[in-house]
Amino acid sequence: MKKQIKKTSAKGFFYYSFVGMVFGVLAALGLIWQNPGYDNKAVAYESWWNNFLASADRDSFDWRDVFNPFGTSERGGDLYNLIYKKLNRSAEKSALKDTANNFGLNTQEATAILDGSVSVLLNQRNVDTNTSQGEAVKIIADLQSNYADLYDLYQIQQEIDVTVANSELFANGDLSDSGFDLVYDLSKIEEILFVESTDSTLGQDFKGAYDSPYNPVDPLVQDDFYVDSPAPDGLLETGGITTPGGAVEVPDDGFFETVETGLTAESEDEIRAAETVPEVLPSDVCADLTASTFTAALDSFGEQNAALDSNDAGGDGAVAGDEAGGSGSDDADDDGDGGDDGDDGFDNSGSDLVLVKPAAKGDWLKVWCPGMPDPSSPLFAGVAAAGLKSVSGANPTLAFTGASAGVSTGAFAAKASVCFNVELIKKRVSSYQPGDSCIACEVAQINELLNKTISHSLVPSKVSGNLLESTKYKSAGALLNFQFVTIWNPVPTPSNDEAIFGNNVFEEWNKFADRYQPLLIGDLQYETSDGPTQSDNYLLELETLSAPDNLGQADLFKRLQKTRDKYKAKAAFDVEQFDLGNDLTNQLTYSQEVLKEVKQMNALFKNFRGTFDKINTEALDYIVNKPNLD
Amino acid sequence: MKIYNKIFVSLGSSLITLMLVFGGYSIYAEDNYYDFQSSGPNFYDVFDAYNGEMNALFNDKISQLNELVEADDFYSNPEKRAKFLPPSSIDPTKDDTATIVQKCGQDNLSTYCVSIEALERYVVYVKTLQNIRGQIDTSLIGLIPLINVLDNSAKNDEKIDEEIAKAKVVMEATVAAYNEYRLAYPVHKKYQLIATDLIKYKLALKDIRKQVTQFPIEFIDATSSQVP
Repeated sequence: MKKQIKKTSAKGFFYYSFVGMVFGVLAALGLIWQNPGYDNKAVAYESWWNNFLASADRDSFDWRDVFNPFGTSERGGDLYNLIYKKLNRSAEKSALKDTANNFGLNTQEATAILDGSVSVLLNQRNVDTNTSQGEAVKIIADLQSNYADLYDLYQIQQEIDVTVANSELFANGDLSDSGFDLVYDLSKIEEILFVESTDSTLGQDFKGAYDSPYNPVDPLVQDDFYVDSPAPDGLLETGGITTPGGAVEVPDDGFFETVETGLTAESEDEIRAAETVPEVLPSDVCADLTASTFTAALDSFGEQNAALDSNDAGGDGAVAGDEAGGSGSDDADDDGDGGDDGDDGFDNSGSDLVLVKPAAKGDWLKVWCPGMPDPSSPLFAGVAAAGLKSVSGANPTLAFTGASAGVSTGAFAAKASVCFNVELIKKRVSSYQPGDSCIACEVAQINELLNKTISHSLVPSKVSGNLLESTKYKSAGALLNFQFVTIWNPVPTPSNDEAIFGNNVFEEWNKFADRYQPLLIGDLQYETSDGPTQSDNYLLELETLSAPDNLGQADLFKRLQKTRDKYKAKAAFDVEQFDLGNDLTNQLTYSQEVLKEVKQMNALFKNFRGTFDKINTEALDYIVNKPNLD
Repeated sequence: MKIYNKIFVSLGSSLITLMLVFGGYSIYAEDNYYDFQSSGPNFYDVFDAYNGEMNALFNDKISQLNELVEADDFYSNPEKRAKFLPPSSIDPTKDDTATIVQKCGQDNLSTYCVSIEALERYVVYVKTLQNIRGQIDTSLIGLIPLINVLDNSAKNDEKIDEEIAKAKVVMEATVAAYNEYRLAYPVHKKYQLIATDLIKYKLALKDIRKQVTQFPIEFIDATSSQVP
């Protein structure tokens, strides 16, 4: 039973495994069908060629359409198609179009003829019905040759375009062809930095380029192609083309210059009659300049000028002589006024020609009035004498006020209407305008303002409260930090004359005499009735006179010594008494002086206090209450 | 066998089979397979498919490039900027074009990788054209004279030779144009960023200038009563 169950289970297992494998294989095949390549991420395009032609044959499918589309996210789309078109489509299409135009065909007809269809050619209205088969084959050969030439030219043009254009497309200064341009970006950055940007010649026409650049694929008109044109042989030979308006385009250095004939073509004969066929020289011949009309015109001009000069000279002498008593001369020509001296500056009826000559060299600083005589010349004086009564000064502007005195105002207006003083004033101005803004401008402006700021003393000032008080902040570190403090009521201070007390002059003398034993101190003499005598001799003589007779020499000396001591003691006592009395006097005097000084100091302090009170009440309150400067 | 066991066995078997079959196919399948390879034997079909794929390839690369460069963090994100360089794992002396294409991946936008990818397509295109060269379109037999069938075959051969040369020139020119665009567009975006920053800088300087304009008034001969 168990075996039966096991067999049944194994059979079912294999059965369901097989079913699963079948499903697995089917699923794998489905995946392979959906994704046949391992790395195939490309999407197959249905009929790329049709889509390509739809875009490539548009006239506007060029670099600008690829790189400068309406949406920037689409930029660069179909780049491959564009290059494919340029390399493989444009040349063929352009050559076919031009060939068809050259032969008066449409592109379908031209294509058929290029393929060798003679019947298409013979069915053309402009082909003579008598054209033979050989002539038709020749025309086809010409057409094919023309197409081949044009195709080669256009192909080279497109190859150059593809090779060169993409390398300069994004840096040629032109935004239209690529939507962005690095040169333009740099110019904008330059503009932000310096306002003005340097003109870039990138992408611009060459300065010396022709206005109409020669296109190598332009139809070569001198070739004898099959063209149904009424152009005469003469024009074809010289390269001219007749336009419908009756104008003739004459080749000029390889380009065509239109010469209007002014005639309307009514018929072919009239057109031929009206056309100016240029003269064709057989070889290069240099025209004889001496015989040219240009030389003749110059000669004629010189002769006329010479005749006018001679008339002017005669007029000077005649008119000036009449009006100024012969004082007028040709000097007026040399003074640089440039006036028409032949008319004396006023009479213009004699001649219609006026020669305006430039002032002589070196006279540009003078007042220059065309038509007016020089104020410094004698001729001007003659004019004044003739009738301009008010013209007395050298200033020609006065002539305006005197014009009504005796001179025709109209003539004056014609001859001396306005005088200009021309002054050339050069002034260096900054290119910075308030409306303009650039980094360099702002930095320059900041520099200028900072220079202006630091060129001044930046020590802060204040409102000065006192006379001669500095207006600078005292703590601001000025170069000269004066701190004058003036007071309205100066306080008198006591003079520095204090006496010094405290020592006895006699004691000081004795000390001096004992210490230094000044010279001849022993020769001091006493004033006696007998005249001055020396102290020791006087005492000895006095003792000798008053001594008893029995007194011996020794006793005499003893008495002398005793007397000396007595005097000495007495003198010492006197000195001491004097000292005492003198000290009292000195102390009293000193006390009085000190008292006086104390009183003066008290007064001084009172004055200071009063001054401070005044400063506080009058000055400081005023300063504190003074409004700030906004 | 219970129903769950049956389902389990079937699903397991199918999954294993799927992995084996598809995995084996993937391993032994040709590395690069393009639609134009199977578009033959008609020359025009191969030509049409190849150029469509090439156009799509460059459109895809340029579209990725536009998206990458226009991202705000392009210049600050090294990973994004690395997409402009070929992977360092590439060894041109050892790797063949298929390996290089595989290493480059789909999102590498370097000119080298793009050109190798285009070259790989071109090589396969040339091989495909060579394979159909000389073939006769048997579908035309019976419809047109046999001589015309043979003539068509000869004309196809001429066009194939011509197309091989043309396709190479177009591919090279397109790669060159792509390279120019790949170089110029990031530079343009960078210039735009610089210009934007310079404008901000200029405006900041303008504000400073306005402040500095007051300096001569503020500091020259300035008088106050609030200081000693």
